[in-house]
Amino acid sequence: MRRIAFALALAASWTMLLLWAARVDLAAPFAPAEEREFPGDDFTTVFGKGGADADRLRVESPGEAFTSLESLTPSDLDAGTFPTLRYRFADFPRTLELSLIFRTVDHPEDVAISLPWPGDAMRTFDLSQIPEWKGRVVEIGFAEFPVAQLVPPAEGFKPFELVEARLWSRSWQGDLAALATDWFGAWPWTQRSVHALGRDTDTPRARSLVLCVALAVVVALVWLAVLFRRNERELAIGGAAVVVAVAWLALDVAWQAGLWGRLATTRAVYADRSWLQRGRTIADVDIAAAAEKLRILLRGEPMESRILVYAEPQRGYELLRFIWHMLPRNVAVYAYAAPFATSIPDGALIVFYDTDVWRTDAIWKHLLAHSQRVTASGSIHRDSFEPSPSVVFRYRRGP
Amino acid sequence: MDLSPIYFIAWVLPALVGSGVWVALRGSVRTAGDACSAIGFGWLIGVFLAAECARLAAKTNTAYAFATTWPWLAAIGVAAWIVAIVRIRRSPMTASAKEPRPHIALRVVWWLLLLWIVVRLLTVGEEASLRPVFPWDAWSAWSTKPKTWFILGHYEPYVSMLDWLSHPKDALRTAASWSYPETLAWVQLWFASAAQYWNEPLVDVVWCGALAAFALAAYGCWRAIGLGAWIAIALVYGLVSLPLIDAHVALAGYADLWVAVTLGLATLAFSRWLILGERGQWALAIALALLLPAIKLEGLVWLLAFGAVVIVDAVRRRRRSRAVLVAGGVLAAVALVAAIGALTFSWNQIEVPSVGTFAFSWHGVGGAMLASLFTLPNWHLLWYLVPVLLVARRQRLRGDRAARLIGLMLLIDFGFLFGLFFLTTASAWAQDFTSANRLILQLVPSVFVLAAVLLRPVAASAADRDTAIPSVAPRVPA
Repeated sequence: MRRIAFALALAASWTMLLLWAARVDLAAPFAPAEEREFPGDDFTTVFGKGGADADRLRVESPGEAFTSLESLTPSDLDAGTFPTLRYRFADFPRTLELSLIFRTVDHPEDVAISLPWPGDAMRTFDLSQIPEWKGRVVEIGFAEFPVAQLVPPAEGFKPFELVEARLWSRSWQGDLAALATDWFGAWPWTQRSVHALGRDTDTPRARSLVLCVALAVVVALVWLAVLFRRNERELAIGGAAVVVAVAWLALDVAWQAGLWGRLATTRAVYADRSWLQRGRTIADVDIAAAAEKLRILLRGEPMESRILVYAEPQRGYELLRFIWHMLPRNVAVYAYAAPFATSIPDGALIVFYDTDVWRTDAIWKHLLAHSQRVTASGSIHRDSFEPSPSVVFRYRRGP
Repeated sequence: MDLSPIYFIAWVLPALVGSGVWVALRGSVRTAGDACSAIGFGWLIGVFLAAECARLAAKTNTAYAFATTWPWLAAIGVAAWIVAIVRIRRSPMTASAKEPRPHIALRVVWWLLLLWIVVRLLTVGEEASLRPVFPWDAWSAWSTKPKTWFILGHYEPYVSMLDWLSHPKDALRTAASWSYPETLAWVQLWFASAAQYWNEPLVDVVWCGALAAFALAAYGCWRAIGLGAWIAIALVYGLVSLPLIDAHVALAGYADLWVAVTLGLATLAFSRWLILGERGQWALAIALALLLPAIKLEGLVWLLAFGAVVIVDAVRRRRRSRAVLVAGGVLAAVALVAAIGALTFSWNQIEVPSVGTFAFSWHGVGGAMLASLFTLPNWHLLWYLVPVLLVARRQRLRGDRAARLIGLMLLIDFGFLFGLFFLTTASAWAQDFTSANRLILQLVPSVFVLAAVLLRPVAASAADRDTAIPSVAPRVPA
């Protein structure tokens, strides 16, 4: 009898916990009272090429910068009335990231929200957590681009279909579905993944799965303590151990699924490549190409030559990647040398990566007053007709 | 270019050499789990030996670090195995009771957990082996030196920016990470030179080896101190399943995992010494702890905490000779601090060379720390369960010397982290969810060692001994 009571109490408590986790509005109906449907062929491609295929939109190729964008202009759509987004794609490649893009009357600038990889199933997202989602919606759409820093841009795109999108009014069904998408959606690795998982996207997230599982365990333990007497202590301890083990395993299964999802992205790019090709297949091909160009320019320089690279402060990632690709040249970040500017030796090479401060900034012009621009002999670079990502000066202190 | 067979040798040789060292220190391989410990400890010991040999012997031809170094490593291995065999032959054959065969359900659990561990390691290992180095500090700090040295073909010292600028004719290098320890760079060079070209996937997959080796070592050690097979593997599974640890293998390149497994190994060996009285394990624990600052600068803090606990243990035992040894170790550590550069204190700040200046004041980062530990998907339920375990086993924690000492070490370590994040400007690392979790990660394997010590059967730790008497009867290998 106690065991039945335990099971019932647990089911009731966990259901309440789930409703709390999903931020279910108890006053809302189970199914949405209002719905707006947008079949795929309602969307038009803004970037990229595609066309209607039955009631879907088939996107065949990306636009500039390997990005594609499909959008529509809904009529009389109030954001607050429809806080739940449902969307479905087909054949969506692992190598692309998906974002929701919208504009409202209140926020005429584009708002972009990263969404988890959609797969082929219907996914749901809770828009009520986005502060900008209010007022009349002017435009709504989806953008796709190669997974940042992981997938070489030219290899990210493969044709896919936008099947449909829907907007729902608030409902239990929508809130629970959004929770499922949030908890079990596939997100790619990011640079922040080694610091704190769960903080590797800026997308507003649902209540924490870990916290909810922990609370579910606590609830189970409380019911065990309440319903089982001292003489059933062993059963209670055993039950507690099982509850904890199942909770841990549940979290771990979700994590393993996430790992497989991430691995699928990596496999899509690298699995068919040899070891040598894997080592050379990188996402920042443009930076590597710029580094290679500079290496060729400086091939006559001794390896000891000091090379200092300057880039705009907001380009820190690109600067460090440029330096990484320049290795084993004797290269360093100019910003670290700036406090010791008087110690920069004559003959040191100063490289300006993707910036023209050397000709627009008075301080730089003064510093380089006696320095000599380094160009390949006979190169068109000398006349600056061809834009080059890096400009090199041989530093001279002057008299 | 295909994979060179020499690359496989670069994986196997450290295990052969290191396991020889471990068995020589252990003196026998008769306790349950010894084979696992020998391979697990052995591989990591061997890799560190390979790195140090390469540092000594291959500076002028870094691209051939493996070819230059392997004879040295093999010689160490042969010597170690000779000592090991002599010690095994001399060690008395102890009649040991066979463990009762566990219930079929527990055996099924054991196999399922093992399968799940293997699946996890294969998943993260494949991820690491597919892609070039990815996370920021991996390529901007930890792989900069080995990549440069390997492609250059020889070692060139990294110096500060001012030194680099001031000596333009000298073969010097600089980087933001110029003062970072170089052991991990030589580990990477060992494997890259065996692969015979600079290949990041082949270097990065070594991170998976480090986790797998620690898992083996831990399983073996926990069996040896009396844990049942299924509890030991459940603990190993618990560790290997932690998402942030998996992320550090899948996105290999940071040094935190190496600090974590090295401190974890030192704690494992120390726990064996405390519980089983194996003197070789004491020496191994000290050696591994001394290695910590050579992997990453904060390893010095963990070394000092470890050293403090070793001193407490030695004083308790009232063994003057050992205390002298320990005092020597601490002096060496202090000398190391001096070598790295004197810390500069003032009333409101501390300056750590190459790391930064930290001003003292209270910082309310509790929310961020709680999120890191309890709500973000980094640690599953670990930080919910640890306090429960400590409360449930509080008597063991008080009464058992091994638990008390390891607990003391972790208390110092976590106290340091508390001070760092709540009392200094390093709080920004917690607030922006960057270094805080990674520093905690470095302590996690040792937390599991404490959990294992607390969970071992009661009879095995009944006495709080002053002398090193094995508290667990040796058993036939499982």
